[in-house]
Amino acid sequence: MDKERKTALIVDDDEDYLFQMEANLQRLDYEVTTASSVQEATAIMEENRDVDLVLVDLMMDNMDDGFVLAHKIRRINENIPIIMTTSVAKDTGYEFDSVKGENREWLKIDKILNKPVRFEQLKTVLATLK
Amino acid sequence: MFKNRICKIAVVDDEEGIRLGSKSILEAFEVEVDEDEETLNFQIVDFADKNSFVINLEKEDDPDLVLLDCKLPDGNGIDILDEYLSEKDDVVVIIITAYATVENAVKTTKMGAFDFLAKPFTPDQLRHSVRKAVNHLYLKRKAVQLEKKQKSIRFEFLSVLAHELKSPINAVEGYLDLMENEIMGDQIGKYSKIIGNCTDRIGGMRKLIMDLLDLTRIESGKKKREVTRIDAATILREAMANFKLSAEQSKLEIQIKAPDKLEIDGDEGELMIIYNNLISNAIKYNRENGRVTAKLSKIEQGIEIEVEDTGIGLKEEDRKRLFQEFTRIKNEKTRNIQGSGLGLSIVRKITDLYQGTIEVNSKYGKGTVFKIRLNCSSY
Ligand SMILES: Nc1ncnc2c1ncn2[C@@H]1O[C@H](COP(=O)(O)OP(=O)(O)OP(=O)(O)O)[C@@H](O)[C@H]1O
Ligand SMILES: [Mg+2]
Repeated sequence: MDKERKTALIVDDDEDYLFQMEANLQRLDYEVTTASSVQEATAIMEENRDVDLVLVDLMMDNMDDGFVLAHKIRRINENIPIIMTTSVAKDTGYEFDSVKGENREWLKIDKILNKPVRFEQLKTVLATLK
Repeated sequence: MFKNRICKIAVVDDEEGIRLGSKSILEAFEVEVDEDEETLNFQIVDFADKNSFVINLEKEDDPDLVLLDCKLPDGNGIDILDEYLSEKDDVVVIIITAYATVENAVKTTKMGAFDFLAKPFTPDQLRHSVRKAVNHLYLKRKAVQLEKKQKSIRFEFLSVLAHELKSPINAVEGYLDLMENEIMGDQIGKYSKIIGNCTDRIGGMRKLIMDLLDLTRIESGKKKREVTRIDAATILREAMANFKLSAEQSKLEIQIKAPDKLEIDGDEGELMIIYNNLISNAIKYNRENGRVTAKLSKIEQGIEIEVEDTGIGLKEEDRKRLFQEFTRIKNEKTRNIQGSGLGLSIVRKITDLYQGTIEVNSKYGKGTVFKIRLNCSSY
């Protein structure tokens, strides 16, 4: 296996978004796997532990699927970078603070990004995660 | 509407006889409030002067009802009304007075008093007046409650709408970002799928906006109805024909079972909307090599439209929610199907215009039948 290329798992129930992120990450030289539900993503994580990065959408079938999944992933792999994406942070007034606050302690989310995520933004974030 | 089904009454009068009398009459009194089967009981607190009443007003829960004497040793009932009670929308005041002049009545009513009791009054007069006041308060509280509920429904509607409008914009924005950064190279040909997706999402958004306009027009009664003699059978065949292509693409067989001609008095546009939505759902939520059957028949009160599919079906618990705005059943099978969730809510509103009924029969995983009956003259 080519160890130079990292693998990213993208989890989202929005087809357009999966397509876009897949293209962006491939351009950034990632191998990409996609999943559109918590179950699918959990199965992938369980059988293939050398995923190097996960992008999780906060709201899928249920309001808090993203949190549930992130929690499961953490149990499987403590150190994998998790990026949570959301389009609700702005319009509901929630602030997902990834620096301080209780969520980070509990979930250890490495970064929270508002949708739509732009290529340049993704590039910058991934560079800082390394 | 009343805490613990108890109406709290403050009696403010310097005559002990009035206070004790009212107390014993009202504590034995029960009122059945409108619409509510249950009865309301009364709890009385009494005050002999202005001062003790005012102090109590400031520290305790407001009473529901105040029986207020005009003349108190340390002040005047009218001043209390003006100063402390006229701002309180949720308290009803009955003025007790020995000087029931027209002038007084006008003055206190302007300040928000609800009724008068002229001294001396009989137990029946008291009960009558209290019953009236309680019903008034009940209706008022009910109206306030309804208004709050409507506001929150409206807020919810707008939030969902904002979300539904934002998601195609996000999608298109994301695709443009891919193009801007030439993620897939510098050949325009490489982007044809992306451009196609953008067009689809924009089309979906346009449909959402059109549906929304239909919905609000119907709801506000602004949509002009043009009820004329129309042929429901021909319109059905036209509607079906418009879906021929998409049915072929999904490898579906489509069938019409209708008389050659079935004339009714109805609005052509409305009928078309019903057909379109039922047929488009039957196609969208079907399976490969499935079938869509549309039937039209004359019944006693008008017509019956039936659209049957061999698709994914509906679970019992989801069936009731279908007709609410923006309801989309989310599961594995529906994930990749586009829609705004307004179709059936529009169908329901139109059906209501005909005092019609909608029946849904479905087997999860097997198929669904929508049956709509419209009341109209049919020929
Ligand atoms: N024939 C059907 N079989 C199975 N499910 C159906 C059927 N018709 C409707 N549904 C379910 O009911 C939901 C609401 O239908 P509705 O027509 O109101 O909205 P929609 O099809 O999602 O969007 P649109 O506003 O574009 O019609 C659908 O999302 C779907 O889950
Ligand atoms: Mg529909």
